[in-house]
Amino acid sequence: MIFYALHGVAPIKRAVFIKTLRVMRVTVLLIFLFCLHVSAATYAQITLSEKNAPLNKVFRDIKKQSNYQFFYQEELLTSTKRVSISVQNVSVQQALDACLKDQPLSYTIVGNTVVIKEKEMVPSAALKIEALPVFIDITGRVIDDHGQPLSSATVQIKNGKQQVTVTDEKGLFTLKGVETNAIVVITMIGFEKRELPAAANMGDIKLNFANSKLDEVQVIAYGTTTQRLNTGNVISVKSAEIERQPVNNPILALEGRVPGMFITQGNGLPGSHTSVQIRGNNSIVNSGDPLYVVDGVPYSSDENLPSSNSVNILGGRYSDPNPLSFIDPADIESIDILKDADATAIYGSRGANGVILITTKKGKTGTMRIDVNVKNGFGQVAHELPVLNTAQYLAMRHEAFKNDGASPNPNVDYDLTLWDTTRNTDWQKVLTGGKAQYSDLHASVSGGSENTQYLIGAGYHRETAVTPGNFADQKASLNFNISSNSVNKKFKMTLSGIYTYDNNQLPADNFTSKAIQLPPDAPPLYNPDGTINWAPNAQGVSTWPLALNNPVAIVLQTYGVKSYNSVLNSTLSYEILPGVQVKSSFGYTYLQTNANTSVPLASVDPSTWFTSPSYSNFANNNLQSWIVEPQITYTKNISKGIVSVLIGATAEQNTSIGQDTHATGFSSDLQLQNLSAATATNVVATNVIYKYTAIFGRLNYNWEDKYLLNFTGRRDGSSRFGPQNRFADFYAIGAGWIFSKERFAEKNLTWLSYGKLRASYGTTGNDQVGDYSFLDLYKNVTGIGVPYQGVQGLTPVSIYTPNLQWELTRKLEAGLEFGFLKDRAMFNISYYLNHSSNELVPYELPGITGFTTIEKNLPALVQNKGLELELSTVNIKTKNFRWSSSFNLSMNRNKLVSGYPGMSSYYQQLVGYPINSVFVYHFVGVNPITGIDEFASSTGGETTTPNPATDKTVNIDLTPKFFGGFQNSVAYKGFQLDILFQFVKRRGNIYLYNFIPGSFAGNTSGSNQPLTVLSRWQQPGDVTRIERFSQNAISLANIVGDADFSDLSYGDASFIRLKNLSLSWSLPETWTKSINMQKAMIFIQGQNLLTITNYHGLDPETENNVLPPLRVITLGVQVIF
Amino acid sequence: MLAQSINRFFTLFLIALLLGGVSCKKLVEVPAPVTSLSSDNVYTNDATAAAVLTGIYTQLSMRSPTNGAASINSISLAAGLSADELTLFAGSGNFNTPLAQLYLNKLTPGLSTTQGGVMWDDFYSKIYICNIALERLAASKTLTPSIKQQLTGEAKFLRAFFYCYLVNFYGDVPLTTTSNYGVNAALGRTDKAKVYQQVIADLKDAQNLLTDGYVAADAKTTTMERVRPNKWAATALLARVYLYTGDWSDAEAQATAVISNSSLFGLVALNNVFLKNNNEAIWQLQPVNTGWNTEDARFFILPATGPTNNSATGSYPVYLSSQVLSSFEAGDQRRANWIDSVTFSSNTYYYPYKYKSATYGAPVTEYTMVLRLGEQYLIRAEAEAENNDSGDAIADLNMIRARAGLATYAGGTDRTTLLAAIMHERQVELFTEWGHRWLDLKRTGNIGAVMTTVAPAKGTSWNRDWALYPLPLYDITQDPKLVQNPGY
Repeated sequence: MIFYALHGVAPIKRAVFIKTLRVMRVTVLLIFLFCLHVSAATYAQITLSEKNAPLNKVFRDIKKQSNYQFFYQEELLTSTKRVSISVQNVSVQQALDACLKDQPLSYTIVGNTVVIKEKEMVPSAALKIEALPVFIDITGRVIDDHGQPLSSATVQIKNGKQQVTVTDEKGLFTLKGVETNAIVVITMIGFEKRELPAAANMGDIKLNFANSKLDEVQVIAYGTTTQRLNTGNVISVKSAEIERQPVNNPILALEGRVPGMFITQGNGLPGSHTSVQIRGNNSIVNSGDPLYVVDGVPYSSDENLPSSNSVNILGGRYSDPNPLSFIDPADIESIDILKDADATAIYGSRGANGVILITTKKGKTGTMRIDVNVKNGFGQVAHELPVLNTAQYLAMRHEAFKNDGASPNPNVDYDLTLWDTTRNTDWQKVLTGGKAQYSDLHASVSGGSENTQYLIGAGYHRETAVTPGNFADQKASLNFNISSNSVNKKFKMTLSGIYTYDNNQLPADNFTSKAIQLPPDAPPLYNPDGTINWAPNAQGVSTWPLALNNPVAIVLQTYGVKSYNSVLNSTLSYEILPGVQVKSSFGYTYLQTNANTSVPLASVDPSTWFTSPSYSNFANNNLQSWIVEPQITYTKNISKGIVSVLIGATAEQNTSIGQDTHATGFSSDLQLQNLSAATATNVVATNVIYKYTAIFGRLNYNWEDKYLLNFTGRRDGSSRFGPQNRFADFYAIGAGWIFSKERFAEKNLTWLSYGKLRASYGTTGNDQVGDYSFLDLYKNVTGIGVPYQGVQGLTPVSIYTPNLQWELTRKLEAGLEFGFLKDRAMFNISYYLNHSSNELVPYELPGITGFTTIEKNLPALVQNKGLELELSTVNIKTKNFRWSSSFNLSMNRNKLVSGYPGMSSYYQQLVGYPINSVFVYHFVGVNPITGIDEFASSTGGETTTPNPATDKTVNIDLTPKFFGGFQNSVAYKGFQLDILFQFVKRRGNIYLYNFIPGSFAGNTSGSNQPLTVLSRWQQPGDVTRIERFSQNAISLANIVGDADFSDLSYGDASFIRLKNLSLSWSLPETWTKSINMQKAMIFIQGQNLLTITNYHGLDPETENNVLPPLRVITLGVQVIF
Repeated sequence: MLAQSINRFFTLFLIALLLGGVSCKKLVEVPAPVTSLSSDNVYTNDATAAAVLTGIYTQLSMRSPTNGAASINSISLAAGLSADELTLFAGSGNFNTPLAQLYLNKLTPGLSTTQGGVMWDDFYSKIYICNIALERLAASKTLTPSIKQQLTGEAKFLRAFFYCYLVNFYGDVPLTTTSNYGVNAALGRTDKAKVYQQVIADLKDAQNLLTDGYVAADAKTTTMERVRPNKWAATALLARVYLYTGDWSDAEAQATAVISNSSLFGLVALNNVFLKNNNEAIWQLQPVNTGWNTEDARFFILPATGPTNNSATGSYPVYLSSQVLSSFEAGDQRRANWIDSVTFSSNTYYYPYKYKSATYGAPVTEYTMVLRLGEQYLIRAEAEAENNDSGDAIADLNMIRARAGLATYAGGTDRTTLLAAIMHERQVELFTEWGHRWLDLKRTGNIGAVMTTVAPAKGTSWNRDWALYPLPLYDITQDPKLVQNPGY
């Protein structure tokens, strides 16, 4: 024993150690680089940094640095202690004094030689020899709060070399040869660290769940870690934060909370499209959607949902609904957002836009727990856009006629000649001023024994609309989770599932645009007898503006989507050898959507019935995917560190089948929902298969929780690419240095409780291009009802491009993380630089080739760089009172760095500018003499008719300059108050006027105007930015609305929004205990309560003409038995 | 035991998958989706190969000639507006639409939204289909020979049809005869005469390849439906091409071949000319939109509210010009039977009424006429007149006049007078049909004289350069060898 202690390692162990060293050459080299500046020394002087080193090693070091020779008898050293020393730039004497201080030795220096000899015996020295350490073997068991054994916990001797082990499946550990006075340190992800004095039998050692955010579990690709030990950039949002928000889509609960993640709600309708962008847009034309993974199963984002002409209303912005709204936020335990290369490279070709991991709630060991949560409330449009009232409207119209020297035409200008001009309707109040009812119920039962845990949850959610009509979105969901393990804990299995049924009935058109555009003197919606008022003219033709129609007619045009969504996941794992685990996960998702829109004759102007038949659209789509991911993991202590290795493979297939049926020829409106009653149908079918396969691996090394190193790699193959480029490799390296654990920091920076420097670099890809894009496909000619000669014709839709492959994004990141005052204040700062190349873009071809574009990978380069800051503090923490704050700020700068020859002129112009920017005319102003818009001409001077090819010279950047959130939580006894402010600084499309102010525009759009038009040009000499009123587009020189394409139409769309406010009160435990309850809480929650903005228009987030995010207020109760 | 077998199972499974992932590309190979095919398999099967050609006919028939994107099937509208046949309704913002550019003969080569430009793309995308079909059909070894022959003939016929219009609208055009985009993207303009040579060669081939009778969608079974081109369609088009290129004798010979095939063709009463599968029809297009007859009827026939332009209920932006109305001789039954009118707000608007059925749900009685016998008589009359065979020319002319209820031709028999009479007959016989008037004005050199008088009525003035449509700017930008037509 003593021999080993003095000579470091036994011969046989030395061999292993050397082998390990070879394996880890790179690792060591990198760690060495990190340490370089620590050990940098002046040549002539001695610097030592040793921990428990044998004396002869220290002597060797001094010799090396000083050229002094050492002379001593080997036997002398047998009775010496190991040395821990840290000195910088000292003399040889000082160094020797320090390391021989407590040794039974002394020294003399003769010339260039140090002679070591035995110290003269003094009583104290004799005592020391007697007190030589005693070594024991220690054993113990590590358990959690609930008394469950914890396997894979790390057990270490403080400052001890090599004395590390991990607990086995029963939580047991043994360490041999431990000094009796040693300190045992036990650590495990998700638990607080514990330190105990060593003892032969240490019994059960309980670890508490971690309270510090640093040590909370973070879900990462194929595993978990903590923020402390993570080398990548991962942000976790926990269920507590999600549950506080009355939202129907879990993604909306993240707005303002995640640095680097910019979320835009498409509109205020339930289930609407939501755009998510992590660290800017990497791709010129392809989707910037992140990869969503629910419990390990990739989950379709918007892109993959088969689109159909009848599912567009939810989008509001011409896109599909968001499948994430089919996941009940209450089922979610955590959402983890992976951003940098280190965190995302293992997702290979799909990680370029970031990865969002959604983890559902799991059962926990313990007695049965019943959790019931009921909320009830309402939603409404937060504010009306000020528009003209009838008096102002009529004045505008008459002024327009006067300006044009015309008079109203009784066959066209119904608003002046036919309608009752004494009416004044606030259409926003009538059409979008209602209150949407909001009800939500969620209950779950969970519990489990040592070997089996379960959770079963169910939810019901109902949300009505703010519009007239009986519209509602109803969601019922079920989720379950079972995990079980064999008695010896070697075999484990989990099974979890989510099932959601969603019945979303919405009006088939956008009521918001009608509400702000209908003239205020428009006729009543209903006739006195209760029938729809078509307000016919002399010819019997409806006088409602055609594009707007009578809004209550739209109420009859139903639009409904029924969705059936299931996500199933199972994992099986087995520990074949200590530290070696073989595992496989199996996932299956099925999403069926049945959408139906109907346009009954009753909803159409009777005078057009002969040309506008009633019709129904039936869009049935289903999306099925399965995934199998076998993995093998290996954990081993090597030297003072822990190595974990993961190797895995993926096989995945998605099948999407859709049928979009346009049905006509119904004998009556009553039959519209019945496809078999249609006499003519036109079916468009889609059938898409997407296959994906990969092998991936990760090597992680954690040296004393101080130096962290992580390599990941993946080889990917996707069916979306040409046969010549199916496979590609992606990799990343990440490193972390927890410098707060260095002695210099522990000694000098006592205020710093945690400090980490991390960096990562790697590659990821984007394969979000259309399936089959490389094939020259022939498809059925769509849009016809009667096949030509009874046969569906085929037509080619693309050219064969076998070289298509993924876009490539190189990500570089550096981050600094600090914890002050025992982690009461945490500050993180990250900088990143992402370069995306090999962009998949339409390459323009002259039309004479038959196609105007083909898909090609071209060397355009898109750059995103940015800075993200996060600060969280516990401001006050007393027994009864706790106040904490958190603040995050993100800045992203996007730029199309370079183009390529043949790139379209549109993109060519964007080189040097953000992708998400537009070039527009420069609006000079309204000509004070003529009252007509003028724009800057590229040839100098002003023009009223700018040239679209040359005069669009002003770049408007629509990407946010910065955004973030500021949250405060205050808890006092049973009360808890949470307030989240979200802020965004950006430019957007503003709403100064609609079409041509003064025109009735009965055929194309509505004609009411926002109040901003009142500042229009009226007479020569007026200097203003709103053109003179005109009743006729042609009479103005600027006939095509050039101002819409000028910088006049863009303005500040920044805002600060009180995104969420939640106040809860938990009944005192003494009360709840008396009725056998664990917890009872009542709460009030509000979403989008207040918006501070200078934006011209309805809402700065959703911009124009769509329903803005609703202000939702709910009241609820949560009880736990 | 259990542990061991699980152990073994997982190890094997893992190894199998790892090896599979590395070595077996099959994991990521997908066939073309069942809802579409790729060129590798389309031309291996009789039915799908035939469906490609059917796809072209479907597309020619499906789109309504609206004010939006122009296509081959809006030739009647576009050329009618450019010439003196149609008047653009001044209300409803019509003058903001691309239709105004056509009407005012002020096309801009703009990016891609002009009528001229988009029609160009439509022609070339169809020509691409013909080219790839011809290549793949020739290479195919699995198709039934007779079907392969018929389809090859159809593809050649269609290519000739498209090029015939292209040279007439644009002058010299790039002649693409391959599907290779690399080759095609670098082409310059080919001399008009060379394009015509290709057209004539294609049509001669088509004559030899195509069947005598009409075939069904399988390109084999004989049918009554005259909606796929046959040998006679190729012959009729060849007659037109010879006429356009001044080859009078060949024009006469080809027209004679069609006219003398009386078992298939014969002139029918005025109100039957546009009915489906009538004897006058040489090639028609079957309507494909549910509940509707021809798209021409749907677009030209004005509702009680008169012309308008509104996307919600349909567009009716044009009506017949005064020039067409005043060109009929007294007693011409075509004026009574082929033209109708509507009065709205005390204005009377006349519209083409050749196609009569524009009510949703009405039984399909009419097909879109592309080639008909009436034109063949006029082609032959013109060719004979050019060859100074005035007797035969007048006889043919009288066939058409007689059907219209007009007296036999009593004008001068000199070549010039006779040709003018034939040209006038073409104007009133073929108005708003496939751009005949616009093409006739150009090929006879009368365009300057006619348009100079018409232009002021339209609110514009004539420039000789406007007889040719501009090439789309997009193509000129992408292919530097393409030179724009003068004046644009």
